[in-house]
Amino acid sequence: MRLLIVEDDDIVADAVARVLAGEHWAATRAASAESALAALAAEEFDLAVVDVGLPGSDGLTLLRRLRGAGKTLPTLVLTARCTLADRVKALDLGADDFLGKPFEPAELAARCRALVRRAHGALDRVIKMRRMTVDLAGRRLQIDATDVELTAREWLVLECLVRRVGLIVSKERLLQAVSAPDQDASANAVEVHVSRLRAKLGCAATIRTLRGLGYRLEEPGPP
Amino acid sequence: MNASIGRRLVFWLAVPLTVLSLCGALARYWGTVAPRVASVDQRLRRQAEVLTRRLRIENGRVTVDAPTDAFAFAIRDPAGRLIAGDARLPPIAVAGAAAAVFSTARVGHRALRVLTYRAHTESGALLISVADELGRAGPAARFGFIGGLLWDFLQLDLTLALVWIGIRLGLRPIRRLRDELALRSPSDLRPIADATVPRELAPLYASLNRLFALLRDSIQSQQRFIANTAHQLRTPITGMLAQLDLLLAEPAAQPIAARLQTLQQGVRQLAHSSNQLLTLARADPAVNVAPRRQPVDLAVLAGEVVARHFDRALQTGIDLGAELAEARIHGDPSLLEDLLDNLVDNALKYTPAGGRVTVIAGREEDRPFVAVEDTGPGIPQSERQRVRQRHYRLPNSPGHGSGLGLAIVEEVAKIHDALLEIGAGADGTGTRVAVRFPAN
Repeated sequence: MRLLIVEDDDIVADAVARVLAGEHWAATRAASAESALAALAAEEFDLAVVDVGLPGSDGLTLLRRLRGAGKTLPTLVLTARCTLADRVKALDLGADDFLGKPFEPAELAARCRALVRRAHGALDRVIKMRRMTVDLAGRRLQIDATDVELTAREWLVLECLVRRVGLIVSKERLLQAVSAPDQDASANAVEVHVSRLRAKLGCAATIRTLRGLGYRLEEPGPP
Repeated sequence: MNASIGRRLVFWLAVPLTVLSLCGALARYWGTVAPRVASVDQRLRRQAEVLTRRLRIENGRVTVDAPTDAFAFAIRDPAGRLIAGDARLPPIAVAGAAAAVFSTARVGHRALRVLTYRAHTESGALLISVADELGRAGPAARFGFIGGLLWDFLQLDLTLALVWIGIRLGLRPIRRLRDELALRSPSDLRPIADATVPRELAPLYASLNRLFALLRDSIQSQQRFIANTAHQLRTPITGMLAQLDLLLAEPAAQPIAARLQTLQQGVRQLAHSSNQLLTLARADPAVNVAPRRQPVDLAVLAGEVVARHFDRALQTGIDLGAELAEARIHGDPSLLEDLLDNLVDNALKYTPAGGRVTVIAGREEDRPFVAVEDTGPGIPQSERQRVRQRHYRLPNSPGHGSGLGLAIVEEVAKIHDALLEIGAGADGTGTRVAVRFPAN
């Protein structure tokens, strides 16, 4: 997949390219908003990572021009000014996600994956991980090429988690997902579904609990 | 209390006016009362001569054969016994050398001028007093000199009272300025409206507005400087950290992994310190004269901060969690995030592996609060005040902190009128740091 990195700092740009190269991304780099627009006019990209602090017109201006021109390309904004106000502004201008500097390479990779999954979600309903494959459309979970049966509620939980692999999904979100339209599920119910799902996944994927906040689906490291 | 302009004006009016009215009273006395007294005195002298001529002495008895046209007279022997005349006139002594003495006396409601003299007759020396009424025109004559003065002072008091009212009305624009400044929140640096200001105050308004503008500019440039510095510092640090991470993951780097990790540790520390210093600069009350307040739910902020520290807690084997209930306040979200970041960072730093760190948000007695509890070594009672100081670090504290964490927390708390409490954890061990915000 093609990635556009818009970042004026060589070291950061190189690091982003290397981190995502490990995830099979082919990166093109632009050091300014102007060259980014030129690159976007010349070829198609699957994702853009845009730094806010660019020389000349900044990353947010670039974002506004992109969205103004009707481009829906998923965009992750990087910034050194990672206050809440900056984040809200970036998201309002059409950023799909946001990451403050300094960032952990693993988080950058996880967020990029989640963004592309979300963008392709409607078409590409099969999420492939190292040891498991989740077919969201067909409601089919395979671990090491073997089908695993899930209840309807366990499916809803897995669907939420797998769409944001490596990222935290809040308790409330899972609660909403498993609640039937006519009856509310309790927080306890979510815990029960999660622990059953955990047992069924075994060591093909880990569901980590963030006490009091939510859950995170993690892929096991390479063998 | 400093001198008031009103009082000063009254004082500087009262002193000269008092002197002036004293002079007026003296002038009036010498101009009107004194000549009248002189003419009465002259008449008394003439009457005394007549009285002396008509004095008859038979067998030691003294009689006056015809009444004088004086108001009253009295004849006394040297011992002061009344021989003839009016007993209402007081006896007045005449010193040896003096021939005659003038005095004033009061009989009933009448002010009298009395001439007393010694007459030598064949039956010995007699003391003779002749009295006549002083004129009754004018308050000065009626009340005498002192009375006139008192009357003047009464008039003066009334004048000063009117002057005081006038001054208060005149100083109204100054009071308006005072109220305008007093009602302003300290963060309000807008210029003061000066459309209806009197000429005398216009320069003061202009100076104040210039000062406000200057302050606004310097705060803005300070904020810009901090934002720019943040970018200049964080970007290369981000690059270095990410590159080191990538290097460490490469099989070819395994022989020097330990050295790379030392380097990584150093860069992390650099990132941390520069972050702390920038946050401290941002939390400086001088920069937060006009804080950007907005509704914030501390629970949401706390959730984000906990999520951000989750991986670090996993790596160090600490059970990081949250107990969050809605806690809405009005505040600066970025600064509050810094506050939470520092509380969680401290707790993770000082809690050993296997420990537990819990971030709590909610309301207690209607006051929103956030708290971070850990199962670390705790802060001794005697150190709980000192750890709030910049760069102070507990003796034997592990890690490589900058000693700025709690100083940042305290500054941000202060900006939000919140209270920072440092205590022991729920079961008496560890630390519980709570920040209580005012009820809203």
